[in-house]
Amino acid sequence: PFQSSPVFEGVYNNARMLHFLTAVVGSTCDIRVKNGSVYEGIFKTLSSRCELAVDAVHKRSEEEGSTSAPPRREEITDTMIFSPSDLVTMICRDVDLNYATRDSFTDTAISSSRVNGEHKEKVLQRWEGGDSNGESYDLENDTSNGWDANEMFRYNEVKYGVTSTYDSSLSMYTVPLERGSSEGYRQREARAARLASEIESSPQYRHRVSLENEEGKTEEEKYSAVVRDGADRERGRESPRDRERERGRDSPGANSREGKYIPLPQRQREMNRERDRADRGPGGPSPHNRLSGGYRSTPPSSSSSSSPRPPLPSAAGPQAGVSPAERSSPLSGRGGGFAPHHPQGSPTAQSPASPPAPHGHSVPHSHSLPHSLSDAGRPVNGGEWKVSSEAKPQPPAASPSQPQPSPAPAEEPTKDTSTAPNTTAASTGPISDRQSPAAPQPARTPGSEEVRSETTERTEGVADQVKKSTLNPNAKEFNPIKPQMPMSKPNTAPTPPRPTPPSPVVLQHPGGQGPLYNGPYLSYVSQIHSVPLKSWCLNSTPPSGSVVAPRSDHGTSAPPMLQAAASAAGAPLVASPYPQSYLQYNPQQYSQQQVIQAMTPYPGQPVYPMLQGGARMIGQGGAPHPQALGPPGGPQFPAQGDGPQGPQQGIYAPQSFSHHSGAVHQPQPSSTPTGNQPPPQHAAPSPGQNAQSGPQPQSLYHSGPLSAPTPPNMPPGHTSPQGSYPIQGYSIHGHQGIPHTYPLGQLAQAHVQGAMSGPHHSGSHGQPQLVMLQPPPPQQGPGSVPQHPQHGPQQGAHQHFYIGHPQAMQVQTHPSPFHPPGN
Amino acid sequence: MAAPGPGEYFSVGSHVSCLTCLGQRLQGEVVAFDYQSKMLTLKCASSSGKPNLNDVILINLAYVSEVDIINDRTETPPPLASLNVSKLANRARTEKEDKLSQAYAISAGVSVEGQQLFQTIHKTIKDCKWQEKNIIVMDDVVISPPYQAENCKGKEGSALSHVRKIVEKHFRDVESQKSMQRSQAQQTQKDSTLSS
Repeated sequence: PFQSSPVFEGVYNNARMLHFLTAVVGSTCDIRVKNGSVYEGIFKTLSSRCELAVDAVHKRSEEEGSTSAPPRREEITDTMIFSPSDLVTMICRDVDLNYATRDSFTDTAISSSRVNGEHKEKVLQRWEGGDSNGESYDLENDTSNGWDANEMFRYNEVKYGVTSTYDSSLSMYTVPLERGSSEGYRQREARAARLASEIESSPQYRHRVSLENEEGKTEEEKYSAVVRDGADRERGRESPRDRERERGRDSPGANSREGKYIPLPQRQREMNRERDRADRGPGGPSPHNRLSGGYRSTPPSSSSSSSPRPPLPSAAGPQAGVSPAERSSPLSGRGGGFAPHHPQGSPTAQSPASPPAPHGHSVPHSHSLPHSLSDAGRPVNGGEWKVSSEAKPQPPAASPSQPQPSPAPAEEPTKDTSTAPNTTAASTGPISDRQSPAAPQPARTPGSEEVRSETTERTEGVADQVKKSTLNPNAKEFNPIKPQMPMSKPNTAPTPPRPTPPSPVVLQHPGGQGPLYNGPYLSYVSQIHSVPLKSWCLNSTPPSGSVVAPRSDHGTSAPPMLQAAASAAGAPLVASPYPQSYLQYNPQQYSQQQVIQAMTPYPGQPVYPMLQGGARMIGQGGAPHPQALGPPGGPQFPAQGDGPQGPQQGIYAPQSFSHHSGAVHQPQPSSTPTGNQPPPQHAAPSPGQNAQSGPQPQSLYHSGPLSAPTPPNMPPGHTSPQGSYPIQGYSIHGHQGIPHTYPLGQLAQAHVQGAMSGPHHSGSHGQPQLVMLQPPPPQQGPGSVPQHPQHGPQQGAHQHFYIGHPQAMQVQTHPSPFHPPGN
Repeated sequence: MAAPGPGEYFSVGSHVSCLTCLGQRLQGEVVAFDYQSKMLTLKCASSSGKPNLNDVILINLAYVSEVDIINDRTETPPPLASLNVSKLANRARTEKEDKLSQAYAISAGVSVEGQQLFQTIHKTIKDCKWQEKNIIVMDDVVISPPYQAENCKGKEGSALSHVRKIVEKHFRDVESQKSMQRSQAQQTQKDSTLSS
């Protein structure tokens, strides 16, 4: 306000005067007036006419400066205003003029800040980024992007004697892929190539990719990515095979570095080949994969350069493992992994967000996303992966079998129950309408079905592979912080989920929520269902109960799980920044559903520390008011209020988003039905839930959108038309992975976990969530929470984290806040 | 800002000395001057001698009889940093509350010793307040007149023992201060006798 006012009056025009008089606000001042009396008080503010407002004023005895006895209460006047015409002097003693500026991040503040208690001026060093003021700076030519890591290591070693233990092979996190010539290896490789081609040959996928790469590309996306050197360079190395990865993890050391999956766009040039590839059976030995399309599985010899194969992409040379084309592809970009983004035209890699997928292999961090995408079924994180493997033994049946009784008012509850794919398709139709723009749903359905069939087959194979896998059991889980990035880029939501036939849930949700939701978000509809569940959980759980406690309360393991899932979903909510449009999407619901599914198979699953995520979820779910849940702030805050977790949640939120989205997607497409199931089970225990569920849909969760953008979508399995929508992307997983080998629930969990912190076990999430749930409800007001995250819960310090404190705002020169008139 | 004629305004950074109509001489560095309201703001070394603190004086030049410029500014003043207003507002509020709280205690007839003790404790533990004549520390420990260590009551625990230590140290310091003053007084007496 003050800032906006164009004209300041009187003293307010004098920036310096205003600054110094503002800087002494809150200090004790002695005001001497014309008649010689001295008043002491706390300086509060001044008006534009330089009238001074002083609080808690008492008249001092005559002796000057004497620290006379403190005043009695009755001698103190609450507030006095001194007119400039009466004022002779105002003396503020012992004022720290930097009191209110210390926290500002300015050169002055930095240079004058204390160092270890010493008041030593720091000498600022000139930035040596080039002497032209950034104008003649040549971005293209400057290959040195800051310090080289090795340079840093060397510097530290020389200067501080610190020796880095960094191992570029990242052996702590992964195991090198042994490129064997064994039959099994070749088969896997071939299969990976086939899967990739299948996915990439999907029109929907391509459409999506083109959208991502060209239309949706922002300038930043175009130019912020690391530039790859020549495509030819070391492609072999960088191009790890997705498949291998996907399989993943089954394969003996799927080195992230070794085999990279190159996103379609990059390979566009090779598109033709890809199609060819489809023809080639999966079984075929890896050697002639090049056509296979995007996947550039490098031959055993990781370094492409060394490999005899011709660099040309076009060359169809019968090179063994890797197609030459692949190498030629831009992706090859050096280890950077960022390469995917190339501008090269339409084919360019997915948007920044997406990059993780492609990079994933090359870069350890990226793993999660890419993997999940490619194989749909596979969890991104190592942890997830594990889960999935466990799940494998279990029949996919879970997803279809589970009928979801959606408590929500969803339009098509009945449909939900039906697991048949056909029904889903039907349902999709209507949904799409609601969604409006996205229309993708319909498209994806078909694709998804196809995918599915394939998937099933694959999954079986995968299971075998998994058993064989020699992955390093001690490998650390990778917790990608990157997920956050996705948030920024919602658009990218690369992975179009494949609509699984079995997922009626999705449809149902849309119906109920349909009006509210935007087209893209339709998939989130499922939320409704979840909501009731959540509510139930809340009720059952004790307010402050420990994680474990909640379960006991529920009696059924499932509820906690659900909650956990919800919590996972909830995290996205935190993102609140997103428009209400996203609200509709209830990650929680999905997650819950998923969780439930998961639960079924593994009731006893251990709970992991994921609490944070869970907490979030809980908060959302727990919140009695759907509305509260909806806004980003809502969910988080409630949780926070309960416990210390709040802050953490905030931190993790970004990640969670991505995860959530993943979770969400899954449930919708494939698992949807399953998700529905849980509600019925729980329904009995918690009647109240239903009621909540009704409103919940409205609550809208922002998280959905956020998550969407996250990497999960990235996956190659774009087959689903939905692909354009982030959320949908998740669905893919469900289709592929879930149905077949992995129980839906498990998959969902995996996603959730990933979202939370990466490799968390779903089980763990559940518990934490429970805890969170109870607290949130009381705290959150029904209505208020959702919209204004900051205001809402008022949650405490934690919340502040996310939300900028209004108070924190710094007023530069103008004390405006203090001066009503001025403003 | 209306441009005052040459010689009529102060340049920021110069050092001036003023004599008010009340006979008070003030000296410091000009940090701000408002021509319209005739207000001059000076920054002076802290009267308590602390290096990181300053005294800030707002002078109404309408009541100044004499102004001397000791030296003109030598450098361009640094740019103004932004201020965290909410932080300032919070300070104003807590300062006021503290003052009022103290005033309540005095009104209740708390002895000077009690007030001093309160100030001492308050330096260490912000969470202390008056309740009638009792000092309540952290809502846990009650110190009642005559405010000796044995007057600290509360749940046995670290809080109580901690407060006791503070109280004991406070009175120890007061004692040592008194004795020092005494010795100093004696010293000055000796000096004066010697010199005379």
